[in-house]
Amino acid sequence: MNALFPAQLPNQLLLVMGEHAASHWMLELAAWLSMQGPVRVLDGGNRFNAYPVAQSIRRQNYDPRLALGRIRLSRAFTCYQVHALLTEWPVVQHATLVFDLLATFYDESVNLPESQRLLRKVLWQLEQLSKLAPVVVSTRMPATICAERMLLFEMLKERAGSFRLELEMQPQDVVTIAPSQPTLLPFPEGSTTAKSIIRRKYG
Amino acid sequence: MKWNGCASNVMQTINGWLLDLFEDTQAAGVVLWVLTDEGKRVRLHQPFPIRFSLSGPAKVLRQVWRFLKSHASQPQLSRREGRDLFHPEPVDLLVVEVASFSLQQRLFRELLDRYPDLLYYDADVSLPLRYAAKTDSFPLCRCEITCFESGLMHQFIVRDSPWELDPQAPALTIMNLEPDCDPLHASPQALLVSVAGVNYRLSLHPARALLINLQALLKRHDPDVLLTRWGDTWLLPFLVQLAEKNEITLALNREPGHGFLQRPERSYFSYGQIMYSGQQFHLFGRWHIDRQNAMFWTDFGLDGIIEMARVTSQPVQVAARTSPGTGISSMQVLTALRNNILVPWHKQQGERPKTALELIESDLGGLVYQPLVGLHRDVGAIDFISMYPAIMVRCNISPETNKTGLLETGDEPAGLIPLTLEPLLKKRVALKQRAANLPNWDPRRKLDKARSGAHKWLLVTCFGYLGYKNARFGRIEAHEAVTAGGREALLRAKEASEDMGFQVLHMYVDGLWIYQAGKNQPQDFVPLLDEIARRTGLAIALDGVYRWVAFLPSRVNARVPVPNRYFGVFQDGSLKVRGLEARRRDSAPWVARMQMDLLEYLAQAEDADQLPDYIPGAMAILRRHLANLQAGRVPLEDLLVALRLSREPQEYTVKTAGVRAAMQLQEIGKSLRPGQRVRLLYLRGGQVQAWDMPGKPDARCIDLGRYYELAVRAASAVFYPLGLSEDELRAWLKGGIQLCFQFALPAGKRQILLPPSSEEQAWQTLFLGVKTGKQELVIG
Repeated sequence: MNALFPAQLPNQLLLVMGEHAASHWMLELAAWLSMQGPVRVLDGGNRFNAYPVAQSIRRQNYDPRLALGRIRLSRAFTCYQVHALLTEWPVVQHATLVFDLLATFYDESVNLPESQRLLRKVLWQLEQLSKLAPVVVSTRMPATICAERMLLFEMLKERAGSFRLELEMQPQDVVTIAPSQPTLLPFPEGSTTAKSIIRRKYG
Repeated sequence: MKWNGCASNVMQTINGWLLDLFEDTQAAGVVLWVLTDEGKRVRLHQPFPIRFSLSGPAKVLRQVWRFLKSHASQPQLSRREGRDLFHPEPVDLLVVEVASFSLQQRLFRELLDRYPDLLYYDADVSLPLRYAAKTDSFPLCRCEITCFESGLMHQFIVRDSPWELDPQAPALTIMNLEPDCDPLHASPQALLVSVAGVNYRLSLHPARALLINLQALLKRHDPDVLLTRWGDTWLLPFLVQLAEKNEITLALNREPGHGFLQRPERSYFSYGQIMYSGQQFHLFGRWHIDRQNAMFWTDFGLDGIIEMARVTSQPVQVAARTSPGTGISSMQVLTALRNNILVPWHKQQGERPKTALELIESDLGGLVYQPLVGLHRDVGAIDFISMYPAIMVRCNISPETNKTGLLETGDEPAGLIPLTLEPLLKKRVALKQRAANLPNWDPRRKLDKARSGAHKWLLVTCFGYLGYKNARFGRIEAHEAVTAGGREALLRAKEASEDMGFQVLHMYVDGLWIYQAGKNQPQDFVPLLDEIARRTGLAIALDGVYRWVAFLPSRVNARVPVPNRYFGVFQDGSLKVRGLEARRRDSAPWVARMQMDLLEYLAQAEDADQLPDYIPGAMAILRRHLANLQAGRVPLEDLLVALRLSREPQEYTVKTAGVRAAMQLQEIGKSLRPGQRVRLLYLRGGQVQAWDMPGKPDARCIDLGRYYELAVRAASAVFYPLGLSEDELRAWLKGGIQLCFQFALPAGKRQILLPPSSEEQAWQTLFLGVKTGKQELVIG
């Protein structure tokens, strides 16, 4: 686990993208952070699962009850709730994880201009939070039935300080796709599985 | 409710039923179509101003006031306080009132663009719901109307309630319309019309004759309901287009000069699953119901749809096409409006922060005890009556109420959710009790069953709606409180059962399957039911006593039980099947029928002891079905498999059978949307053919081996709990062996089956490529 994450996350808006909004990686990160101190979680896609977090903590011979007690989370089911929660939250000095931020913004029952308006506000709020502590946001691409919402993803990507791509790929794909840009987070040493982590840093 | 009118001084009183209600496009207000006691259809008009409210910083509200003062819609403005369910204190409001619904909708959108940060209340409530809130009306309510001769309404009094068990029903005129074939599959050549007991076949060519004849029928019978097949997706748009092209009037609407309401098809996410809703075609003054597009037509038909509309106050055409979740939402909005609670445009409140540890403790869902796999006799199935809604009512679980102890009652006044659910719950229980006492010949049984079916879906949905993203009055904590109550109730029921000597075989959310030697009569379970009701405070009933019931394991691992995958026979001989191919929507009808035939045959056994005697007969049924397949006697329609697409075909990495079939359709311009099902046939060589491709596939190309496999799997699910494994069944079907197996009940009994007749030997030569079980069986 220590190989997966750096000793300290930078105070900026970190964007992680992948299948299922990179939930597996985010849960590992939540476990890792919770062993060091308090963590705040905003779950926009009902992705947070406390059981794998507890298992991950236990693997590190740490007390899961203690660490899980340090994770404070709220789930949001609409983009209005995401905005309302971020407005209500007090400013804190510890890391904030946002799971599947765009899930509620991809909701076709909210019209696109309204989603854009709210996302602009939410991104501003997240940027403010990231000045004091790291804010890690995970997301995924929109489904084809709401492909026009791709621009929400672009909005998010533009505002992110760093971008990390978390993909499940075949080893042969890694050769062609893996970029040589400087990595945000260290690559796990000696990985032998087909699951590869590819990182890209933008801007 | 009274209105002042001055069009004419002559007044009349009408008694009848409210058939339809919509916005008047000629004058501000609403149009009501009423079916009178004398059988007339009367059009009435009524002014109906619409209100909505805004809340926010006083400075911004003053700006809005100034903006609206000079607005072209000339709204009436006022200030007052209102009650937002999620705010402890009253909310300061700017109330806006305009003359018509469409004006209000436009104004709301305009304000939203200008002032997006304000809170809007009662802003997007539909017109029928507003009217229902104001007048206590609902579709087909009995009403007494005083009106002027001009049709201007003076007074509207509702004379019954949606909660009556036996409401007085009007005689509706129904016209059935359908093309002579599925338009997605082939080009229809004629329109089949049936009205007043007479059937007509109108050729689609020439178009003029068709339109003139259809118009004549519409005029002569003036139907209240157009009951169609593919009416939404093909027939009505086709007829309208044809009429426009030929410049012939076709009065599908009863309301003169009114357009049609067409809603486009759409794919959407619901509870993480992609769903598809076909396009809709609504009429005015009469109802259009498309049986292919009505959500629960096969479950409860027109009677259930009408009941759904009555209790939810949604228009019948809407109730037929929308989910029960929308129905529950409408009921909640209605309760809110009637109790002066503001209806927020959207929900703002998120979850109160909790630790991950608290999440583990609270977010658990329903309780399931894995079943004891195998065949069991004399099993009592008991379940709580509408458990989750009953908990919500008993424990007063609502977003605005305080949490009580598990299954405990509180002193608080009833919250919005219990207020909404209580009458529905009472009506369902009353109908269930009546159904239990009605003789089989009583005509009310069918009607009650349909209505009860509608209630069931509403009540099932109401719990999920507490946690649903777009539920205006939902709250995830309330959702969790309900499941916590459910788990507690089930555990108390389990303890009570075990205290009274029963063995619990399986538990699934709100039901238990229990056994005790010698207890196999309904009265044997009464003391237990009373005890559970005492311990939980919830009503529980005996679903029935099974002569025998079989709980099935996973197909992948026989040691792993699968909850809610079982079949059994009640003492009256009726079957209950869950999770088998016979119940699945993607099964080929031939496979589902074969499995049901097996089960129905086995259900004839008087008790479990007799089951071994029925196994040879069941095997013969299986062989007969397989022989029909081999001989090409199964119609192709019965071999169709309907697979749901979860995304666009080109997005799939693995080209499954469903994807390949969808791509075939795409190539000929028939594209399917995510959430739709594609019907296909399996062909030899691993090929598939989409059913809606032009031309009938060659029956010789059908992959009989694939269907054989599907049939054997389905049959194996039936035989497995009796003691016959899939490998043994396959080996026996291949022929040449004599089968000896241990029957599950009673232990030690052996049944010997003769080898199959020579016809099955032919399978071996016909499907050399088919891999089957390799197990050699010892001759017994």
